[in-house]
Amino acid sequence: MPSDLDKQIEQLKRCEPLSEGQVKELCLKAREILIEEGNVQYVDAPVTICGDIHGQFFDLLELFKMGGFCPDTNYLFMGDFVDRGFYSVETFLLLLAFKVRYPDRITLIRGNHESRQITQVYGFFDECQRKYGTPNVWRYCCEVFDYLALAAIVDGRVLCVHGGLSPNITSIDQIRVIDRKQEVPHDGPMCDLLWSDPDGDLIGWGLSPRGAGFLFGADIVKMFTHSNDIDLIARAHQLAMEGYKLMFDRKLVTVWSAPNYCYRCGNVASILELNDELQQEYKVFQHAPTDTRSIPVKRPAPEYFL
Amino acid sequence: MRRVKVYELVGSRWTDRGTALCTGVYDEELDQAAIVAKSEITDTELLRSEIRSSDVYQRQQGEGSNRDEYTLIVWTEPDGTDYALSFQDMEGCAEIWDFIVEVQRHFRGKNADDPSSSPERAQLGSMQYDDSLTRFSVQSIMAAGRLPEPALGSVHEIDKAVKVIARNNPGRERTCEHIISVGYIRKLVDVLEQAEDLESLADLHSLFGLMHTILGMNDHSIYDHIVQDETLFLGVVGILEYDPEFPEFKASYRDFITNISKFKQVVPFREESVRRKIHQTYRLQYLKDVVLARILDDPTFNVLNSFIIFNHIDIINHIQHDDLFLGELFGMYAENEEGEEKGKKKEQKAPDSPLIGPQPAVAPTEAHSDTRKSDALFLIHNLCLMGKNVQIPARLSLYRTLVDRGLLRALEWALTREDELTLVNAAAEVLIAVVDHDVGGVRAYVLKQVDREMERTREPRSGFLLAVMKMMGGTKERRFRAPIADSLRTLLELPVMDTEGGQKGIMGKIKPKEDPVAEKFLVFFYDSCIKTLYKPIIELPEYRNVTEPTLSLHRERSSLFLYLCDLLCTLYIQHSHRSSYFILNTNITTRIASLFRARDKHLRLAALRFFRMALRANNTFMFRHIVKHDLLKPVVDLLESESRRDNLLSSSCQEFFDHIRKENFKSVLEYIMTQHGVRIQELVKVPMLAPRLRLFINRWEQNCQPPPDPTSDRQSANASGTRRWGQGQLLDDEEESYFNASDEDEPTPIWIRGQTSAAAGSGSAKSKRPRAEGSAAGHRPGPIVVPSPPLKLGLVDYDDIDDELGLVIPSAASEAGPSRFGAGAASPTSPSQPKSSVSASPERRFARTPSVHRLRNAAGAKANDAGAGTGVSASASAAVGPNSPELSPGVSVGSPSGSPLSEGGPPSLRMSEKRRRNDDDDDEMLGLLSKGKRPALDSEKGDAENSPTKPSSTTAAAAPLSAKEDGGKKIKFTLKSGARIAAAAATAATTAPTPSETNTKDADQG
Repeated sequence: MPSDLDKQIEQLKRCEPLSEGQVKELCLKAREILIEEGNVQYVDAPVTICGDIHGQFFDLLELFKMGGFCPDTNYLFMGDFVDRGFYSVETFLLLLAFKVRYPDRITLIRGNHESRQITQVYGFFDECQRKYGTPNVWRYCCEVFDYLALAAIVDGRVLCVHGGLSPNITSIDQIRVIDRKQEVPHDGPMCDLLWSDPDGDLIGWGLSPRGAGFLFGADIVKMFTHSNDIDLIARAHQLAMEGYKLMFDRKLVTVWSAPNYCYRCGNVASILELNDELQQEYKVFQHAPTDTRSIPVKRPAPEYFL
Repeated sequence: MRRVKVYELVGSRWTDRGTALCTGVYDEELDQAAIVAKSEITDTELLRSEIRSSDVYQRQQGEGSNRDEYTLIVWTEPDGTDYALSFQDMEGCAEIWDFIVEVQRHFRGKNADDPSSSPERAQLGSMQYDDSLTRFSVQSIMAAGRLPEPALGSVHEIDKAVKVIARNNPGRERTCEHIISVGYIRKLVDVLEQAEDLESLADLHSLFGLMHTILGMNDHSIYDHIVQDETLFLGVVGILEYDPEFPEFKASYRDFITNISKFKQVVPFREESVRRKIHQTYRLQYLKDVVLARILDDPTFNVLNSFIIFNHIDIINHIQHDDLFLGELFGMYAENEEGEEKGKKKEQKAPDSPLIGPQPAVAPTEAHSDTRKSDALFLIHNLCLMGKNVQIPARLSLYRTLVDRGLLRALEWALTREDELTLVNAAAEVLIAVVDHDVGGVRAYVLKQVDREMERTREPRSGFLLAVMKMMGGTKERRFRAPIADSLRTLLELPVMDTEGGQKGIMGKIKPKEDPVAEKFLVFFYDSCIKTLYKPIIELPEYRNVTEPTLSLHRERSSLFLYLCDLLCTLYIQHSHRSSYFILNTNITTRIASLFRARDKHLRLAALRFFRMALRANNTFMFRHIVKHDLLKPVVDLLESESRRDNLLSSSCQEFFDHIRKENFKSVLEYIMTQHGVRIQELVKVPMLAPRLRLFINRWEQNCQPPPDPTSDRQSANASGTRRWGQGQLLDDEEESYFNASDEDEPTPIWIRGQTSAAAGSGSAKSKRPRAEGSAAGHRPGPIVVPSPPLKLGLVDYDDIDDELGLVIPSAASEAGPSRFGAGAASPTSPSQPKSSVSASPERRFARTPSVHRLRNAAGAKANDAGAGTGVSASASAAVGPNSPELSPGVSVGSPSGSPLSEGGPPSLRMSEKRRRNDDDDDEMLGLLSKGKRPALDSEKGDAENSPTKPSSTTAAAAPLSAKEDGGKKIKFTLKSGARIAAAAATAATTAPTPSETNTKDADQG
């Protein structure tokens, strides 16, 4: 007899959104789970690390088809579940439902798009408004965003974070005392973790063209990995046409999991599988074939006054 | 030979194939002619294209050239490749063009038929478009100046021809004109009917294709044409129901439009044109959101969207000035009150009649049923949503008009109808929009209500505010609580002008500017409302009296407490004396402390946040209050209970204690250690807490030491001057020394190991919570005792100064930047690096802060603001510079002599520091305020360009030597900002749909 949650997962796998009440319940449960997670969440290998999804629900299904569904495979998603794509709601809720159902099997960390401000500009807010007629679902989700972990560390050797490093953080332990339950700030360590980018041509730190976070060079990564005794920094946040991009003497990798980003970039996506020995295997996948279901469901209000 | 650039169309982009010399060649033997382009450099053939008789060639004007100045020839090869030759000059283009025309004439002559005079059908044999791509050649259509009549079977061919013609602008324009002038779409709809009768799927799909092509030309007039008339529109969406990509499916747009969608006219629009516009807009939206959603590309999206927005502007404009309409709309809610509104109401009853009681019973002239009122509210809701899409001035004026006309009366009515979820939802959304845009108007309305009630009942009371508070506290439905809490917070936040004025005032330049309405509103709120609002918390037992291990709360209760706690944080920070009075007077803190016993961890976290805030505001009375009531006992309890977990609560607790240590709130430290010292000593043994708690205890121990000998202090002042720069405000030396020392003693999580080398190697890049220094400076009462520079952990107290002066390797110190970057630390190899970050830091903050502080950002306050936004002491102190030696480690940078610390800083500065800190906390709220309205790129650019002078000039004033370096950095920075813009533009261009806001925080790539 499947539980309600299992039913909801099945429903979400079909890309059918939950009702507003169900979302509310799910988000409350998720909050209880996430509050128990550290800012840097420990994860055991083997685990499959995924980058940005950006609401590309059917491509997420492709990802699961290749990597195995939860809970058969352990997953770590490095943020940016929402915005851009047509199905931010379904995407985030499916991941969240997995999280609630199998808390130890899937780890979600926060991306720069898991923020009230950003989602109001890049589509998640509008999508909620459109699909539910009210912004309540968006509010519930935003509350959950505030509880998401900021980083994760696999077997103490691989640091996973959405954006990158921060000049304010030299040791992983410093991430631990960030007061993370807040909207992503405009600067400071928490902002940097979610916004920064590596820059292959740079020594030290540089200004980020994004207007938030920093650019960091090879020396920074070398220093950080050395002093924290880690092998690799896995991050997302930047489109990699080949699905992933290793940099800095393989000390840093960008993993990108949104194939054909925005349905037009023509890129492939990848996931990074770390086995028990933390050996890396990158699995590349294509975007889902278009079919009727990829037609965005937009329900116009039947009644209009203006 | 003519000089050309050869382009090939790859995907949707013209790719440069190189510069070449172009010529036309004719081979008499084979009777073939070709265009040949030979590379200028290698002399190889970049292009050889046989000239065809079919009309695939087009001549176009180059960019920026005048009419008839053709410099481009464009065509499609039989294999589908598009080429373009871009000539250096007109003459070259003309020459090759003439050659083509000549060759074509030659070929056509051979084909005998006279193509120019015959109608389309006659050309079938001769004018084949390459491999008989189409029966209707582009040439013939162009020549005829019209499209062939559509018919079953021919639509597909027409589609292909139109596609070719539409490739260039003139062709597109002509086609669109033609389509509209002959009512071509109507004809297509006729074909649709035939095709549907015959169930000819092929024709239906062809029709879809042609319609898609026509719409894809993105011509405004075409869209205008099809949404004008409902039957035509139905025909168009009918055609679009048959998408060849999904042959098994048929959409049901027509059914939706005719049977399901419904226009409700609550109050009649007297003007026909507006009504038409409303329908049109709905259709456009339907096209955009539903019919074309899947195939919508950026240009089409833009055409539709701008069309919609312009219509919105028109509609809003009209409604705003339609007195009759607004009067009738808001008149229906007037039975709640009387009088004060303009328009129709005035004629209906006497204003301010003393006979009317608090619940005025005067019936309006016509009975307004609740249904009608609900509908009217949905109308208002629609209008407000529409308002969100228009430009800010138009939006502001709309909301002001609505508030002025009695919108709040309507909201008050709606908010009392708790059971109608959609209605309350709509009302809550409207409320948020209104307080966001016209908070002054809302406050004024409330005050007006209060005045009227005072006259009537001698009781200050605002029905509106009561309704809002009731929604917050009383409702069973949690879903409204968030928007209502947001609105309440906005209502209570000080006006931005005030804050700005306040800051300037503190800087001693301009007196704070008061907002009398806001003041009065706050008085009313604190006098008459806050107790009602916080009653649920005040009614909780004091934490000492909570006997059961967990406080059992209903879930809805706990959600209410969550919002109330967070709101109280805002209040406490926003209006210090008023809120402190309330907090201290009601002992609400002892009740909030009870929330630590709540089962819900998030509620415990909310309580912790409140106490964190209570400390942050750094108010002596609050400290005393906390000590007196032993209010941090529950926090110690919490730390104890969560100590073995690595979770959010334990993180926050550690941060809490770390904060107390960094700020060195002596009385609090003393209190915790005396009252709960034993437990803290016990907790220090927990590996995860050890690092930070050890420092906490150390700090307390330092505080207990007798003060140092003042003379030794002074001697070492100079030395400290140079050293402190290295520490930045980031460097948490104690922490560092801990890690250096304790690695072996204390078990640490695996991944912390190796830390030692990090600490040693990186020198100074330790983080410190940015706001720490600011608030520390803020609370110091008098001039500061100049600290001596302890080379080891100080044994004495120098306030928080030793945070900056603790144990640091001098060489690392001199290299490290004082900025939050601590960047230098990470790059000891490049001594220039840290300095560049020094100068960049404040500027960069400018660039970023406007989004939040934009409104209050008067030029003069900028320096201050930069700090405010960031809470970064280094940038702030650099900006405040010369006044505050102890705050500007950057000052002494690079000047070997260092600038000796002078004693103390002006008290005004302290206050500004405090102010700044508060702002930092407000970021989140301000962020909410400015949601979605990120500034355009130019503002960022502007700020970036304007600001560098400030910090560097202050630095220069204090330390001439460092000024030169700053100059260099400035340039560097400017370049960077240029690069940033370029980068932003590049990403905007290549990826993704980009709203205009993209540029600021370009999230394009992730």
